[in-house]
Amino acid sequence: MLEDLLLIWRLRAGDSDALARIYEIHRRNLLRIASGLLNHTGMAEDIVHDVFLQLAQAPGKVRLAGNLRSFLATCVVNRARNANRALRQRRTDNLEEASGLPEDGREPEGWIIASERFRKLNQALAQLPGEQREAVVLHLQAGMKFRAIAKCQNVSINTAQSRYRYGLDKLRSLLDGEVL
Amino acid sequence: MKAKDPVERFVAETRVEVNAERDTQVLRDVLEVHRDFGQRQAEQQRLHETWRTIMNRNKARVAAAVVVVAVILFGIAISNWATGPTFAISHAIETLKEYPSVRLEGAVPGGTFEVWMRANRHLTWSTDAVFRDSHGAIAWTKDGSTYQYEPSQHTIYVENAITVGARPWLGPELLEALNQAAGAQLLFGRDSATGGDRATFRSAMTTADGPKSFVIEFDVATKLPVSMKQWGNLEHSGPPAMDVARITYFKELPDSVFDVRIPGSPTTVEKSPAIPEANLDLLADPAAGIPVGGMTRQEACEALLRSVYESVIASDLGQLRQLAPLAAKVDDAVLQSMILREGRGDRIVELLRIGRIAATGHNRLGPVEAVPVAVRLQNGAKVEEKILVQFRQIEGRQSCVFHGPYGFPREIE
Repeated sequence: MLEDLLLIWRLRAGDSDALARIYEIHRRNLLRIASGLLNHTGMAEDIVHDVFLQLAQAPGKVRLAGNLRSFLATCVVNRARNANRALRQRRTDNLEEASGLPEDGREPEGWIIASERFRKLNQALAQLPGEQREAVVLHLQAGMKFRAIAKCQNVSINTAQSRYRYGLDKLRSLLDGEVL
Repeated sequence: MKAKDPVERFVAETRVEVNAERDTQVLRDVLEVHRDFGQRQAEQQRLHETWRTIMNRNKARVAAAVVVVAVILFGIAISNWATGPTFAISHAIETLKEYPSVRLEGAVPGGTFEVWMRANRHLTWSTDAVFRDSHGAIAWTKDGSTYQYEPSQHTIYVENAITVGARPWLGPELLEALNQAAGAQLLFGRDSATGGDRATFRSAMTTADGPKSFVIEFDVATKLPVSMKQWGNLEHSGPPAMDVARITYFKELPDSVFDVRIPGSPTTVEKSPAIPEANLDLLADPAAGIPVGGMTRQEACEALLRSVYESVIASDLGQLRQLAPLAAKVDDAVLQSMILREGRGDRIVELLRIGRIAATGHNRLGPVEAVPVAVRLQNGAKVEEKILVQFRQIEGRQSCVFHGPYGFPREIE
């Protein structure tokens, strides 16, 4: 937490090394979270790119209530929700166009190098309802406590925990045989 | 959080690898955007610095610590004060007359700092200063110059002027200013660590740098400030922008305290006098300044500065505004208080001499000259200050204008 605060202070003072350090520490995890929430690697990459650009452009807007990891994860979640909403809207507006969008429409020279395990996990996560997927990803990949997840989802802690449990149960059946 | 269930472990432990080339490209994009932010920050900072320069409250940006120390001094100088039953500010003023040196130790966001300073004999501004921060940056003054060591570059930047320190000094003048207004809180309590009585001054105000709130703690027995904190808001909320955990006053300090040596033969770079880009449009006002056709730059500087000092000594604000475009939009009251220093011991009463051009810089308007000027003050002191003069060619005519002091004055007798 103290290191996070110092990094943010240095960032606000214009210290590029602090930004590079934040990038080094958090980018992989943010890519993992975004991919888990979107099941679309290209969009996930764009979102994480945007989060870092926003951080670089306006570090004064960072308000750390918890740690930097949670803050950045929440930024990714908000953008992922917007992207999912836009995607749903497109599907409603134009079914043909939406159905033409590949599940993972990434460029060949993408940022993420997806392993087989990574693909399987994201395919399984994609089959969970959005709230359950968020609860699982935020708890297990972003390391957020249920209190923080509840706040992020604007629900009670019990609801956040239930969503997590249901999501995990469903993942268990989906990943049956994949997990040892 | 510990994932015990195999599925939880599978989700938590699935890693992602990144394409190194793309990864570098993204980082480059992000850093480029941040550089723009840094430049905007620097421009704002330079604007603030020049504002203080024209207000005759100089400081320089060396390390974050240096900046924040100067900011809090500025804040305190225009703040309020209230007296309490067991602590009178007049006692503190009298006590501080015996202490011309100080050491501050504290923290700013991103690190800690230590400052040693020694005041002039009138206790109006610092003459010697050494700032050190926890990242290894050091700034110090010596023989009328300022040295700034940047550890990341192993380089010492040298400026031919004193641009770090405290003005006003953390002494009687500052406390008198505090004592002149009302509205702040003074609380009395006991320090649990030492058992000593403490007077805690609490206030908030909006300054040229935005909202500030602060707490200064005095030792009731010695009447000296012992700590202070400052926030960048009016509510004393959030982590402080500066936390001076310890203030120690000294009656005397050895010269060795101010003697800084950097090991390992650092590179030395001479810094030219510079004027913030944000001020150049103001300095380009065609109606301002004096024409310099047929004069050498030295002659032009002398003609301009003679007129400026005549206007300061005669309190002729109209002429001052015409020669110094940065003062054009500053209120009379501010100019009288900050530049003319009416009723103060450091009011300029006589122009003694104008020296040869000491340093030259350049910007898009033309050359910038730093010229030493010696003056006598109301309190009898003779001081030398360097002044920046901007030359420009506007509408086909050569002219020059007054920018402001370059660094602190230096007592010469």
